[in-house]
Amino acid sequence: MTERSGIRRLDRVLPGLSRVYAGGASGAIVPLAWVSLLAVAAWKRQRIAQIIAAPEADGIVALVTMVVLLGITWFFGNRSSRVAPAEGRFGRHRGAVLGLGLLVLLAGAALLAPLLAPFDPNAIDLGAGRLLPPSAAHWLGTDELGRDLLSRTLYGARISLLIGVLAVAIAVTVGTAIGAIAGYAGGWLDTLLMRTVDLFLSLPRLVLLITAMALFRPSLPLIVLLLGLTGWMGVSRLVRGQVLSVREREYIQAARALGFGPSRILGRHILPNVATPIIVAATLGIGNAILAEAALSYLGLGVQPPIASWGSIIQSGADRLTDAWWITTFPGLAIAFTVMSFNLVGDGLRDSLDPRRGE
Amino acid sequence: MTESALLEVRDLAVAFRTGSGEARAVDGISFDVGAGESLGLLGESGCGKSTTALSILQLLPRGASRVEVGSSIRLEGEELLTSSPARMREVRGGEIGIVFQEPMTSLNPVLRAGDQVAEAVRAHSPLDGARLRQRVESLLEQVGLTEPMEVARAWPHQLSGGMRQRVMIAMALAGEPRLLIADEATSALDVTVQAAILDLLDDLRRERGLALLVITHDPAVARRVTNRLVVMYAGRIVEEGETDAVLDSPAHPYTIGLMQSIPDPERPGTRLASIPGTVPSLGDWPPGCRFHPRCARSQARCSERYPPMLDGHSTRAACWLLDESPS
Amino acid sequence: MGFRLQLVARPGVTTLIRYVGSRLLQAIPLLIGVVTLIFVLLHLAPGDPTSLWFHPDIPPEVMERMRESMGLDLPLHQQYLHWLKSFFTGDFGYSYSHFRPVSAVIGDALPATLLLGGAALLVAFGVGSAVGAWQAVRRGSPTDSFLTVVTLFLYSMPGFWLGLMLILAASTWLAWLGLPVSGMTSVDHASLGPLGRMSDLAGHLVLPTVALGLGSAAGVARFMRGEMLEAIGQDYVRTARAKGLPEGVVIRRHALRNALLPMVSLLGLYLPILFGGAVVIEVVFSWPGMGRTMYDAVLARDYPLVMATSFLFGLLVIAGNLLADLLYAFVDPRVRYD
Ligand SMILES: Nc1ncnc2c1ncn2[C@@H]1O[C@H](COP(=O)(O)OP(=O)(O)OP(=O)(O)O)[C@@H](O)[C@H]1O
Ligand SMILES: [Mg+2]
Repeated sequence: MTERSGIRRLDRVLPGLSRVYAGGASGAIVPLAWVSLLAVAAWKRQRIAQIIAAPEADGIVALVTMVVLLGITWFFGNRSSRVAPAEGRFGRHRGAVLGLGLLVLLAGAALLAPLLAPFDPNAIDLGAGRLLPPSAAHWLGTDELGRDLLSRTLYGARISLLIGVLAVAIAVTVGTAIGAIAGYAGGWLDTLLMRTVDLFLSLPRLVLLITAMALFRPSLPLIVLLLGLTGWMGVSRLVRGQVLSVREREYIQAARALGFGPSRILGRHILPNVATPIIVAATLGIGNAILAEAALSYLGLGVQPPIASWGSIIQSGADRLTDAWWITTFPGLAIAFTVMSFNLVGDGLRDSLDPRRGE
Repeated sequence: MTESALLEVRDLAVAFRTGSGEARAVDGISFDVGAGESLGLLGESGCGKSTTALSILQLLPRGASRVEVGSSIRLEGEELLTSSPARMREVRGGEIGIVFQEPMTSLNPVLRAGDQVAEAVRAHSPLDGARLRQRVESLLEQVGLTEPMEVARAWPHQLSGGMRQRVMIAMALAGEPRLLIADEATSALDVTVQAAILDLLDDLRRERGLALLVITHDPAVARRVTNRLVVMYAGRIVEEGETDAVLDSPAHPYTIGLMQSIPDPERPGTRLASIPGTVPSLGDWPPGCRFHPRCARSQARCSERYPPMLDGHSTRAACWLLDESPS
Repeated sequence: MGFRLQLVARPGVTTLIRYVGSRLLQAIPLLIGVVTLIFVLLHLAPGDPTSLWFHPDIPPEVMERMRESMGLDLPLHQQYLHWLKSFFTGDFGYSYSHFRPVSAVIGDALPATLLLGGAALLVAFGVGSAVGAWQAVRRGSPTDSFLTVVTLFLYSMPGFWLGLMLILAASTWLAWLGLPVSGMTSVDHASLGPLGRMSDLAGHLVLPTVALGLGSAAGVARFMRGEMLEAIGQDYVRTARAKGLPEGVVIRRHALRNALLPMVSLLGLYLPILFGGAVVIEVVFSWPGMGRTMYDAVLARDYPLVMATSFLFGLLVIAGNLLADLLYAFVDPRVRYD
């Protein structure tokens, strides 16, 4: 009891902390964010002081991120914790809550990498620091060039998440545009566009990506663009379906009679109706994009050195599997858990939107 | 009811797990079906008719439902609720057959109709080969299918609703049961097909002494094929008696309202007196008599205590209006 | 059970042939699309397409002949027609890294990929549907929850990484199993008897198949669990129970059969995933298939071979989808052939 009231009082400083007692998704995340952010700040106080004393770009980014994250937590902590029915169903989905929690941690870790990373991810030590197994100093060991793998994996999270999110943003944009055009235009254009969807679905994504990477010079923007251009098909089918079903409904005809153009109708009547399935598709799509990027980077056709991506770290350890297992093992686990988090959240969202599929 | 009936249901109560805890869809009902008798179970949608039928054969969805302690379902004195799974398999189809409400979804879409009937035969007898085929053929013939072999070879989707329901009946008869439960077996069919199927059920009862439990929401169906009738409302029995007596001179205000809401073919244009209000939803039963909020003649005690079954003019009804003693 | 043998309800042979024919015709625009897409990529790439064919080892006169044979000196639309024609006649040109015609290189690599892909497909759908169905039948049990977590992890994990982990395991604490971790055959393969060769091949197949198929198996299991749960809740399953059938028969003959039908359409979804994955898995295990060939061709800038392999992967998926459609029409009596 006293404990509880103590935490309730703390709520005035750190709003939302007492929600631990509420349970569920919205219950867990705000307190989790407070605790982990403050722990990082306390733990890395020397590094923070160092950055303030001698500002450098990477450190400033991390500090700003820290402040922004604290602000976001404060904002959500102050917001009423009452939940909508769908949100409530999501909250009851234990896996989805876990996935969301993992993603929050992961995104936080990626953004705060300059603060969290114990070493410079690209600092080479060709002396005694090469191929060290996991230890207290190097939690995940070091690679062939003596670089700290924990630091590289943390920075790798930035690349993987960035690529995944941006690629899916492109995919959603392209998919929405193509789906809307196909649905509105109908006729031969619709047929042509839907055949194009079939076409993209029948060429294995990786094969297409490898072919393209062979023809062009691999670079980060190109990877993002190509991942986006090979991931839009699902969204376009969703949007087209919705356009077709909404198009004939009366209120659209009324809207048309009032002289609203297609873009206004799209924004007002169609997108709001497909927003949620699109979000589900996008969440699952990020996971797939991360997997595809990892495979490309493993093949050496993705992110190029010195940028560390999880796939390229795995590749760097692939030919010394038996004497330095840690180089391949940990980044792979990082990929698996990241993709798993996205899948958990995607599944949870889908189930909470479609009660029939709920457990 | 001194001698033991074929089927005796006593104090049957079934609860479903819902979003907010448990709720009883059937709450303490009792009735008997005598050998060779045809009993009707009449009630509006959601009053617990199918739940009753399914609990007799223990076919309720597992995990989501529970038959409450104290319930009893006896087949010729044998308690079914505590019998072994192996015995229940014998009972299903072998002693009690059932025909479901939904002819479109109750047949397996990827098995031929004849195979599905054959499977039911095989579950209760060791017939094989040509003899099995003959048996299937004769079953299909018995249910009025004039080209049994054609039907046997057909896939369910190639059959009309009426034909499917006949196949369902053939399946239910395959194990030569003594009781056939027809759960809204004709509701999904059009009127002429419905009449033909009802006649079939009636013939089966007359010719073989097959007892029937006919579940329906339609008084006309009840009148056509049943001798006795039980009326359910919100998981409880409100009235019972000879079918004609219940339908022609009902005592319970609910039954009266139900009968008045049927259009009279001889006086078209007269306004239908429908019951005000709506059926309470599952788990939302009012205290006391469940019908009292909608009843024009409700008294103070109606909302306090559930009325016992009382003798009326020609039926028995659960209504305080029939209580002679001063309240 | 007696009625299956004397069918009349099946469509006649001509209807069937007409159906197959029409589905084949539908595949042609897709194939043209694949070739077009590769053509567009090639022309979008920086530099003149002719420069892409350039290789220091090629004598200038061969280069010239090559250009003419591929029609690269013609206007764009004629080049395109030329391009289409060469793909449909199977004339993919000459591979400079293999010093052989592309079709010969592919002829060697294709069986290896079909073997690996087929084995992985078998694992994915065999193991996947068995696990999913089992979970559905024991829904809510600790084993179900455990398998839900395991399948989710396997489904989320990169296949090539699983491959590397398998190699690591097979060469350290599972070394006593003696599982080969590279290639398709041992050095002494040729000297083995027919049975020895088979078992040699099978041994080499184990790890790549698991690496390629396990992730898909997990995906299939997740899908199958849902389908089976839905099937178990259907009215006809209740009917089957009401007949007095034993529970095992109810599950197998009634629920499982219906739940397996949608698996056939899932094939179409997993074929591109499996073939795409095969490229990386073949690299991991040095499996001499099309994926490995394609990757080597990319590194060697052997463009005719790159183009041909990516076209063939598209062809495999399209053909696989076609087979899946036909299979579906065959197993589901409700499909109409029109
Ligand atoms: N599996 C279930 N889970 C939860 N509630 C259920 C389930 N099956 C039935 N119910 C509820 O139990 C009540 C009685 O249902 P039942 O199917 O017995 O009604 P019914 O009288 O047969 O109606 P109808 O004429 O519509 O068939 C309904 O309120 C229904 O919503
Ligand atoms: Mg019912």
